[in-house]
Amino acid sequence: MVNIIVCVRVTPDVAQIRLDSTTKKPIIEGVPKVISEVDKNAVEEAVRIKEKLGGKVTVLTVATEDVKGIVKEALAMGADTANIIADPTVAGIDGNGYAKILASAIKKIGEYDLILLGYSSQDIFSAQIAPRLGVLLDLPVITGALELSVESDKIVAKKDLEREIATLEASLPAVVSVDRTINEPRIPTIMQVMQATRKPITIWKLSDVVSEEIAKAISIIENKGPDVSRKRIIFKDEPEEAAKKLIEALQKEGVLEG
Amino acid sequence: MSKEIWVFSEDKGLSFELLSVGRTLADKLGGSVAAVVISPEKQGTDEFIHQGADKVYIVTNEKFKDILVDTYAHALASLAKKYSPYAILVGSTKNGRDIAPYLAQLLDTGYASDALDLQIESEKLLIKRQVFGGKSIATETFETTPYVVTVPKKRFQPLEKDTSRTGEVIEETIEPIESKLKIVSKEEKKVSGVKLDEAAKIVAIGRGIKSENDIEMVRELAKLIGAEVGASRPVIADLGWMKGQEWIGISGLTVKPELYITLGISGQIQHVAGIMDSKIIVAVNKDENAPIFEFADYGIVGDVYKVLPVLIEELKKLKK
Repeated sequence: MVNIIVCVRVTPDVAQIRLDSTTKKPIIEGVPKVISEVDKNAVEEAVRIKEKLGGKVTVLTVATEDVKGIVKEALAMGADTANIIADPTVAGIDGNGYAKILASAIKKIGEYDLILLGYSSQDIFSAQIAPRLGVLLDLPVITGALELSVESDKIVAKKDLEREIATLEASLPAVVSVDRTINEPRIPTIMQVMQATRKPITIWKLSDVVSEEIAKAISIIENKGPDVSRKRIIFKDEPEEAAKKLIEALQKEGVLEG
Repeated sequence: MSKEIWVFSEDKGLSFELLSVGRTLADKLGGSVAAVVISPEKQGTDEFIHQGADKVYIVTNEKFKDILVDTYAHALASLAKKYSPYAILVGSTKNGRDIAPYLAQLLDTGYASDALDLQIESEKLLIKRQVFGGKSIATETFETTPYVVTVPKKRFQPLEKDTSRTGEVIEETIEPIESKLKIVSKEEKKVSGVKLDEAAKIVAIGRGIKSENDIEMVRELAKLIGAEVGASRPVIADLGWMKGQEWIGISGLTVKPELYITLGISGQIQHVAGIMDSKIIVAVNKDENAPIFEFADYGIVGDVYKVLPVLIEELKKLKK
């Protein structure tokens, strides 16, 4: 029996974000929200562990609004229950505040052997929550697990260390963030989606979870698309002609020597 | 809070790059820059000073032999609590990207990963970094200090080595904490000789390459121009053709070669975000609407299987 809490982040679907053509600012309004990509791998991994060893999978999320409809996808994938901290005041908190809220909520949920999450979110991409939870909950942390196996009282995981792959071991409970290659998240069937509507979802306000003030410690001064000043010279000729033109251009650029 | 900028990386070359940007920031701030060295054995500190450090904090203990995230982060945190630096710049290696947020939490402060640029304005550190999968660049700052930031490789040029520079060396004794992790084993990755993130030229393949055998043809082109071969995520993660090598893109390697040639890569933003700093980007793709052409300096709209052999032929002629 392994009780798992999976922390998922609800983000705008990054693939659908466009930049305003004049201000170059990303247009978030109207972009549908989704479970951040790699967090789905974490849900999948949790469900697989449950299927093998038994136990319970609880989904936990912090959002500015009630995101029941989005979190349901994780329930359809096989998670048992969900807790959503829905509170408009969480807008503008940084990773430090976000991790504190999650850690308090995890303590409130109580029974857990394993905390799973995705290596990084698709919107912020800073891969900081797992290490922060490790500190706040005083638990071992493994990030970016390529493979994960759970034994009676410990976990064994593989992690990429640039030039080598390390096999790491830690006792349970532990915090593990998973790499996107760890598995292929399942796509729930219509039946599973329907059944998920009957699974319990608890909504908490921020004050139900934390008593301290969570500071808005980050300021985003600017957020806009990069200045791309590429030449965009595109050859549409027959291959022979195009190849010749390309090589000539690269010679002129001085990037073919050496 | 002092006006010291600290740099730390277990990768010495990267720590020299951090010293360079740290030097710029410290001068703007009217402060100093210090290298923090954590080492299992006694080691020289002069080179850090020659590369721009005013101070070197060095902690030596054989228990630092393995880089264990919690052990290293606790060591850095106890130093930071003692000396209250303004900012801690950590090299963005796989270990650095774990150590830095762990350290940030121990110090109850903010953290930003993979800074593209760092500036000081009114004594605040402004950090530029990619968000939304590389579609957008945010400039962030925090209300809490020290600022903890990771900085990727090759983002900043190390300073010219100056052996006449002098600095202060502070030896600290820290008893490493017992790690909660155990390294069971380590396995060398099968990587091709040259590191992609240091290559001057790269030919990268994507889904447009239909079979693993065709990579030979790509290697031939790469050999002719002296390039390394890389790939986008699907080729490595989903097809496994080039396993052991890292893919190029925001979740893999960030590269900045002189010449980056893509063959059959559509140009998903996750890939493009990892190649933005390349000098010249070339795209070959049969779909003229493929997003990669937006990011290319030169492109050929055509079937990779027709264009590639001709390119090889033409380059061979050139060699003669």
